[in-house]
Amino acid sequence: MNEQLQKLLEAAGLGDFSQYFTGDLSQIIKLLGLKGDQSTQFGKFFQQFNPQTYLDAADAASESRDVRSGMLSGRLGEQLSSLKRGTETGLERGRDKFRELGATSGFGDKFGALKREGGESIEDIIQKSLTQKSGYQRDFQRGSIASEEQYGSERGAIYSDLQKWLNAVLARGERLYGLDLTGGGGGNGGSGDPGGGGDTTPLGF
Amino acid sequence: MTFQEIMAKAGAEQAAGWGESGRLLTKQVKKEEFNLYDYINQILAGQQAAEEKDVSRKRRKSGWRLGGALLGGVGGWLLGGPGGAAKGSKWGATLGAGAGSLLGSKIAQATEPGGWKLKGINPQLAGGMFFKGQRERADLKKEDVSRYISDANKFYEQSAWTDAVQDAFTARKMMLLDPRDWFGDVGVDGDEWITNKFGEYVRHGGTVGFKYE
Repeated sequence: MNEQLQKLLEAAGLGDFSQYFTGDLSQIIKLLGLKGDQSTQFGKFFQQFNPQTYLDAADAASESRDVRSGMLSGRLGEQLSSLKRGTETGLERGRDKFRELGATSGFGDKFGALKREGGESIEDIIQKSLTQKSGYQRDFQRGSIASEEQYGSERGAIYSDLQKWLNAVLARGERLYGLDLTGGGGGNGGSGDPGGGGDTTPLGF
Repeated sequence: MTFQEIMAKAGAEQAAGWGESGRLLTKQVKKEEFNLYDYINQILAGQQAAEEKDVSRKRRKSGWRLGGALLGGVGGWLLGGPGGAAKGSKWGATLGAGAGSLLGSKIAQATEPGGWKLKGINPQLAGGMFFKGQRERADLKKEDVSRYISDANKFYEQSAWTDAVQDAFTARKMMLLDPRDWFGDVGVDGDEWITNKFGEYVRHGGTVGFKYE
């Protein structure tokens, strides 16, 4: 069995039932205890399992998550780069401004009050920058969590479908048992062509 | 293809596939069920027809047998009388009743409309995948009915001979009895007439009566 499918089944809690998911109907018939000719006769009463569909779905879910993750990371990187540029520009401008003020006043930038005021302005810029940075990081985390949740729900949908398929197989098997199998030696006898309805009506005589 | 598309496709395939295979299964089951019903109905109809014919052919034969025995008995009695007197007439009636009974039965058998034999049943049940127990039960029923028909035919054929012997014995007994005793003592329960050691014809219990000679 495909290793990827085996992992998928184990993740879905169906590892013990992996023999049902080989895609081979005769294997299912044997697992249900139907023997001999029955395996070919009864195959038509089961829906074939197509492993590739679910592998494709799992791949699509993973790819989708990777894309979302890449987008989030890229956006965070851009935001942080932009923030860094903005902060550096702001700091540069602040420094230039204080230098100009110091030169104009004749005290230079060593004057205490001016120095204090300049320091506070730089602190404000840095503080603002840090606040923005943490905001970006929170956005990234929220995005990552949402992405993981979506990935989880997609995987859950795959697990649910696998479970549904197995349930359908077992239910069909039960229905066949209830019909008192003859051994499958016969064929399409008679000419009746009835519609739907119950199966196991007792024939009283 | 996106994840949603793949899942939608898988869901559609599964739903359609299970629905289709379920429909095939129901069709197969119903086909076999109705074949089985038909098979059982044929067996039961065969049984019913055989039972009806068996009753009617027995009724018809009993009429011919009675007529044959009576005619044969009287004929034998008449034929035997001149040759062997009393003994000859008794044996003649005996043999005549037996032969007449046999002849009557055989005539009834030979002239039975549609043939005297009960028709055997031979319904066929197509093979199938389901209802093993019901199939076995139906086959057992078919064997039972076939056996009943076969036994009834044998019994009917043999009964002509056994009835003839029985009728001969009856005629013989009747010929050995006084004709007045053929029907017993009508209206006198428990009474029985006997001949005592003095040759008197008396009621059992002591009452002397008149003996017919």
